[in-house]
Amino acid sequence: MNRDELMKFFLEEADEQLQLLEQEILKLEQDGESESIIQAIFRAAHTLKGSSAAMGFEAMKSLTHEMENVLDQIRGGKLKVSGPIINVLFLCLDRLHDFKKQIEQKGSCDGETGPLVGELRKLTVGEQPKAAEEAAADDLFGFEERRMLEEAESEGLKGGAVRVRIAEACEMKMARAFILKNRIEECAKVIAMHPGLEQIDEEASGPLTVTYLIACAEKFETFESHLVSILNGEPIDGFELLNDRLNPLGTKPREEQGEPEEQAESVHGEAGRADEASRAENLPIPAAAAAKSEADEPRKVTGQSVRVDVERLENLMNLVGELVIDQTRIAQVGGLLRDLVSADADDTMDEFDSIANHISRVVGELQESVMKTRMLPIEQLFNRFPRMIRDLAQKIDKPINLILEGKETELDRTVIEEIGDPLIHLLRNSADHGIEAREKRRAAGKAEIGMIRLKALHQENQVVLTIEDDGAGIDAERIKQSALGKKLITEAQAAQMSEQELIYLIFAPGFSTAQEISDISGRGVGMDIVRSHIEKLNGIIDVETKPGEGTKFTIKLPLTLAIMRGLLIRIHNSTYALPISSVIEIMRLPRSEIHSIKGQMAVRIREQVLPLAWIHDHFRVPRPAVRGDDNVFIVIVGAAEKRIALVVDELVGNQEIVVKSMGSYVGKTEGISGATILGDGGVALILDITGVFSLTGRDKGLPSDPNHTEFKI
Amino acid sequence: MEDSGQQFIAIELGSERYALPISHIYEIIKMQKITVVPNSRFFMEGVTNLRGKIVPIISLRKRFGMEETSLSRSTRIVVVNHQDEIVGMVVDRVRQVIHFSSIEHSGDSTSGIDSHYFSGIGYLDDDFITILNIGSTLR
Repeated sequence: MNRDELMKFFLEEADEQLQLLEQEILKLEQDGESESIIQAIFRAAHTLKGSSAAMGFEAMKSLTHEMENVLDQIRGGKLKVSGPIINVLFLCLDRLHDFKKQIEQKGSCDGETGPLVGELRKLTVGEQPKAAEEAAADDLFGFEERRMLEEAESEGLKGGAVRVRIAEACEMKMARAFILKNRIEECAKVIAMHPGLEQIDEEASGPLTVTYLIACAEKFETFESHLVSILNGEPIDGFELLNDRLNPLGTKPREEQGEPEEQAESVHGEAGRADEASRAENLPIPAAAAAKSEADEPRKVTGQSVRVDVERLENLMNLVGELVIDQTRIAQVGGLLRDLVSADADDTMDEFDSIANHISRVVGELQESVMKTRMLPIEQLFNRFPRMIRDLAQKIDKPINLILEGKETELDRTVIEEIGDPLIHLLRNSADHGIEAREKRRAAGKAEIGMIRLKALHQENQVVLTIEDDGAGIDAERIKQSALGKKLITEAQAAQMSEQELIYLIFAPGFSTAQEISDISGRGVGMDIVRSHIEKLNGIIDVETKPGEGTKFTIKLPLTLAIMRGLLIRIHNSTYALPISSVIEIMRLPRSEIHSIKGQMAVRIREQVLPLAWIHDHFRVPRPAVRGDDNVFIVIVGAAEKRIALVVDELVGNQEIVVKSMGSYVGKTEGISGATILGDGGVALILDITGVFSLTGRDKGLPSDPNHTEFKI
Repeated sequence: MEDSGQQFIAIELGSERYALPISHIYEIIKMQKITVVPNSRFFMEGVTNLRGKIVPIISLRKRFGMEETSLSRSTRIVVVNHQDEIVGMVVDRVRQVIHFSSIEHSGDSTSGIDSHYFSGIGYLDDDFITILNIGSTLR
């Protein structure tokens, strides 16, 4: 493992731990002091201290060290959790985030920790970190570690130790010791190590012996065989499995009379283990309870996950994409073959079909599995929000309760990355503009604490995100005045816009209703960003608002961007694919229902007037000939908040499509976002809905100015 | 004059012959289904599927302002690799691989032809063929 890989490892871990810290400190603030929370915060700070020390990030190490001191005192009951302490902890967290960012960008971190350390020290003033170590002198591990081990044992784990001799030839022994710790953690919990990472002398020559104090859920034999495979290939001279008193296995562990434990265990199985657990604690734990905790435990301890480079997944996805295409082709070729061969080959053809069916089933499952490996729960994104809303609420002095639902909803990691910013904007917007000031809420007879609810859920092949507040709602009249004032629309346009259309103006570039620019919801670019991000993801956004009751934004996104369901349509002689996530409705209408409203073609669908476009005109192909029944097919599509009805010649069907780029030679073609390969081997272009809007001059979601007639029927 | 060890492929557009350096050629395929890309360059035929890859196809006839002819059995797509971009060119016919006995670069040519699309002239016995400059032809 070189430094780059180590760095990746470190950053991943730091990310995890920082997120954990944030969650737990928030919990501490909300739920008050509790042992388990303090313990969790302590552990996260401790882990960060260890790994930053191993990587040589001094500033980070010293800050976490000071945090640990304070936490230790809280844990020891010497300090009481209070507002100032929590604020300082948050400040420390921010600084740690800074450090992490610096490390990410330039590979090192520096910066003032002085004032923060001062704050932390002030909290612990008068208290000397005294060592109450009662541990035996020859014991490598201190009181604290012993206590943690006992805790683990009480959870039904078995305590033990692994002594590893790192080969003399190995460079960067400290880093190696850290890696080994992580390796061992794949199958057991590492409680402590000796010497500690900070104490390892990189310069020292000769092999290095490191002892890890561990707790594991498995039998020692199983654990040992795991160790063998885990440590295989590491530059070590060998390792030794010890019991928790650091004696070789097989020697009588404790003064207790019991028969050799290992043997008892292999004979009595579960009962033996439960027995041992209870003995370790000197507490009679009922066997059932011990067994239960054991059942819970392996999930935490054993390494059941593998970190994989995203690029590899990406590649896998491409390969699966090829398979998906070929599988559709096999089915089509099979159909053709059956027509060609004579009847005596029917049996063979049946066999061919069943093979083809099987392949398509397997490919389908493969595709789903690969897609799942790219999926992450949206939780990691959602977890960023409570802190943000807390800080914001404090700043604008509005108490706000943020409710998160559906954290476990999984979606493609690229989608998660892209949707972060829009969600932040929408949440900030809800807090800043949606939720009213305290007095106003009281006057309106509402609960003083504002509510924002962020919810994620799966709906067929899409993810639906809703952001709902119980604030003042959006005032269409104010939007209109503001838009007029900013010359975004003309009076004539304003007059013919519906209330809903006016509300959608919030997504227009350069629009912001806030009287003054606040640093909270930005400079009128916020909603514009939301819109462009969602468009980029082939998503749709809807707004529902009721004056005085609140506003609800609904975002619908495809689960993944690499493979999607497409609606195949024909325009003139070519097949095009529309991302199904953008398709809102398909219908057939008589041509006579296409009206011209002030120069703009439109259809009325259930009381709603939608603009209509013939893409034929923009692609320079003839419109379809009039059919006998005078009907035309219409597909209503949406991009972010905009809707348009497209006339198509024919509906072909819907199928999984693999999105492919057309390369830079073709260049950017308005209205086309890429291409896909069809079952017959032909290429279908994918319509880019955003591009279609700009082709048809409807990109601002505004009705065209009646003074400039663009289209005639 | 340049090393004549380089190999070329001779292609035909109607009665005109051109040579392409073999080192630029990725593959030569038969005419296949091409999907039109709307609002693209005038000489762009569209895109096609080459073993799972989307490859843009241009028409050399359109590129050189020649009249279009209907496809025949000898119509081929010469797929070239130019600056890591794979592009197909529709030609009427692909002839043999040739070694020129000598090559004259268009820079020192006095023949008076519009040298924009050509990088030079290759001589073979008493015959000569213009060599296409793939870069400027695609541009």
